[in-house]
Formats: sequence, structure tokens, C-alpha cells
Amino acid sequence: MTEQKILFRQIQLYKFAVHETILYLDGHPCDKKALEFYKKYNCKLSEMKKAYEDKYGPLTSFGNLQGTWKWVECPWPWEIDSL
Amino acid sequence: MWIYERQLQYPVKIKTPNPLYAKIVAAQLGGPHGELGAAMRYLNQRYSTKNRKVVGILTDVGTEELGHMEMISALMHQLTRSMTREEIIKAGFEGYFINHTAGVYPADTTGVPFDTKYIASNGDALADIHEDLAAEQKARLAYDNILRLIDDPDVCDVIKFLRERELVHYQRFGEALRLTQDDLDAQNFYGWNPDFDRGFGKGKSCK
Repeated sequence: MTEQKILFRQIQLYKFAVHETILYLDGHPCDKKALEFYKKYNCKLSEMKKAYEDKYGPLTSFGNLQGTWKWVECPWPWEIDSL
Repeated sequence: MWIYERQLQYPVKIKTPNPLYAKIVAAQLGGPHGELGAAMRYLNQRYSTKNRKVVGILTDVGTEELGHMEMISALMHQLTRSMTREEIIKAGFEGYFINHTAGVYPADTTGVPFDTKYIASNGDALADIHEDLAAEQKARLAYDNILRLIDDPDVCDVIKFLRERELVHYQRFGEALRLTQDDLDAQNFYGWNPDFDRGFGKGKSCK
């Protein structure tokens, strides 16, 4: 697995954990433990996304940090040769 | 608004195309228990809901369902790539192929197009959330049935992930039901529509 793919998978994993916590927090907004978890992992997720976008290209159309329009160059996620 | 993220919620990597399997998983894009209906159901219901926590659940589960729609579409796209004439005929895929070729179109396994009759938006949180709890169970059973028919580990892996999500959403909607019931007059459970009747929460009945 390439370095890019490892980071991409890690982002997917962390995003899943944070999303799961979001659904729980919607119904339990005062749960301190869940809030702590959200804060910790969402912070880590933001750092990883930033690192990915700096190095490899945008994850959203608001993250195109390169000099060229990379957004349309990389494979789309449903394509078989995507990451 | 929504911002698109260039990443599926869970990876879809199908090594072997199979138009029959594409036809089977199509049920979960355009069928009565599918992901398009799920997203439309929750995202439409949230406008009339008064309980702010329940609105959060509807918004965030509805958004996740859009991601599931994309995963089923990715499955269909990959299962129908580079099909030959023989494969199309053998899989009984010709009915779909004539109209849509290898495009992704929301219809069920028998070709019936998506219908908004599959969803309800009642403007009454108690009715809506009961609909949502049932919808999650019906989606779960549709995934169970798909797993009974499909014999490709790459496809089954994705379907098992989606099946698991239905269980989690069922749990969250169970909490939404409790939150809504807490808002109701316990002595007159169905006398109120908390999202419509004025005077709600002040101990008065609508009668």
C-alpha cells in the first residue's frame, strides 16, 4: 500500500468514528465522554485531511491547494482505480 | 447546503463484474427500502420537527444515507463495467441495458423506477419516527435477502457494512422516539401533534 493510500484509509476510518459519535451526540448532547472523544478524534481527522490535501490533492472542492485544478484530475471514488 | 467529499464512506472495490448482481443490488438504490428513499425520507421530515435533537438525528442520518446511495451506485457502476453481449443476456440484464446501458438509474430489481410513494413526511414527529424505525428494519431485511443471493465476497463485504448501519440508525431513531415521547403530554399521548398544535407543552390538550 502506498503512503497516500494508507493516509486515505486512515482518514476514512477516523471519519467513520467521528460520524458515529456525531449521531450519538445528536441524541445525547451533554454526554461528556462522547464530547471528549469527538474533540480528540475530530482534531486528529482535521490534521490528517490537511496533510493529505497539502501533499496529494483535494478531498473536497474547497481543498484544492495546488497551482492546478487537481479536483478533476484524480480518480473519482466510485472508479475501480481510485484509492 | 452540502459539500461533496471525494471519498466513499466505506471502500467499494469489485474485482469481477456481474450484471445479475448489479440487478440485485439496484433494489437498494431505487427500490422501496433503498438508500435514495431513506435520504429523501429523513431530509424532508426534518423541517417540521420541533425537537432540536431529533432534527440533528434526521439531518445527520439523512446525510449518511446520501453516502450510502453513492456506495450502491458505485457497486452498480463497477458490476456493470465492460459487459459482453453474452453476459448481458445470461444475467437477464437486457431490460435494464436497453434503456440505461451501463448508466446508473434508480429503479428496483424488476425495473420499477423509484417512486416517492415509498416515503412519508407526515408533519408529525411521532408518525414520522415510527415510519423511520420501520424503514430501517425493512432496509435491514432487504440487505439480509441480498446476502442470501450474492456469492461474491467483494460485494458481500459492502452489503454487510450497509446492513450494520441500518442497525445503528434503528438505535438512534429509537432514541429519537423516546425524545419525542418525552415532549408529549404523558396522559394524552396521541392527542397532540407536537410539531403543529399550538399550546403544546403547556399542559393543554388540543380538544
